Amino acid sequence: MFLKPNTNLEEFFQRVRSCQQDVMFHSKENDWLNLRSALCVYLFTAACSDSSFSLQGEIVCNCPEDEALLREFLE
Amino acid sequence: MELAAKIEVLKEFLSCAGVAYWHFDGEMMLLATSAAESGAFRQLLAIGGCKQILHQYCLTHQIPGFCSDAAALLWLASPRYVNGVLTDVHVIGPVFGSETSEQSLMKSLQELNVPQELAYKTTVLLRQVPVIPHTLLMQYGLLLHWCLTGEKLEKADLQIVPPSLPSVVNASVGGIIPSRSGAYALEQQIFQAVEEGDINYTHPKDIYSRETGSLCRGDPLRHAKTNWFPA
Repeated sequence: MFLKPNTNLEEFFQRVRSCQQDVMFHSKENDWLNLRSALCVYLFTAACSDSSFSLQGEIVCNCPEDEALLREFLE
Repeated sequence: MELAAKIEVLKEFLSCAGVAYWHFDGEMMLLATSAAESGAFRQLLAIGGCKQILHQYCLTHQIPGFCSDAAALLWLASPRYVNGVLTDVHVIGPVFGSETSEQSLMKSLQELNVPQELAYKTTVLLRQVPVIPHTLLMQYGLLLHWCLTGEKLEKADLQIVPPSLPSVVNASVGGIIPSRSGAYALEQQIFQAVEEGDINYTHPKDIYSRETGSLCRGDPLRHAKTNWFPA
């Protein structure tokens, strides 16, 4: 599942925080960022603020409940 | 002096110290800020989760409180009530409470072994956060509260806003153990199991096994890219 373009990061991370298990961002370059880690959230946001960075990584949830919770942000 | 003039003076005062000032309405919609418009700095409050926490705090308190997120960024919020209704929330931050908190974050960043490009962007973002001692931040909070209400408080009156924790799911009932990091979270889970007399309590081993992620190594193209970007 990929993050939709122009996603509201505030709402997205709010939802990620309510997930039961870890939510990972798997970039095209094979980086894995845990979006429930504060540092990775700042990393991710800093990267997103740069137009050259695209959100073309994959969002990987560890449980289907979390995936359902994030579905509106994913495609 | 009118409230707006007082706030303007305080805002200028804070900007001299490199501290951002934020003005939200009662629903936490941003009305004004002295933070730079470009980049991710404006998103720090929201993405770190402190915006919600401070809003919840301001709905139930009338004196300033400060909270810190998991990355040790400090925020101070002061609510303003008119006729018993929360009309404004004034926020100061983010700041690092000490040089140590800034350095430990940078160290964690290095330990993550992130690509130089990403590390550089994050470092640039976090370098915008000033280091202000807790005591000084508290004084700013007292000043802010005085500007808003004309009431003089003591430092001891300021509140520490605890981070909100997700509701604990009983492992024996729900079958799912929420994976939260930190010794406090682990203790809370164990204490709850003891309080409830849950003899089937499963130790949350997943807390120990949590990882922040791993980055691709060994790929020649990636290695070349990593070396390309200066730190």
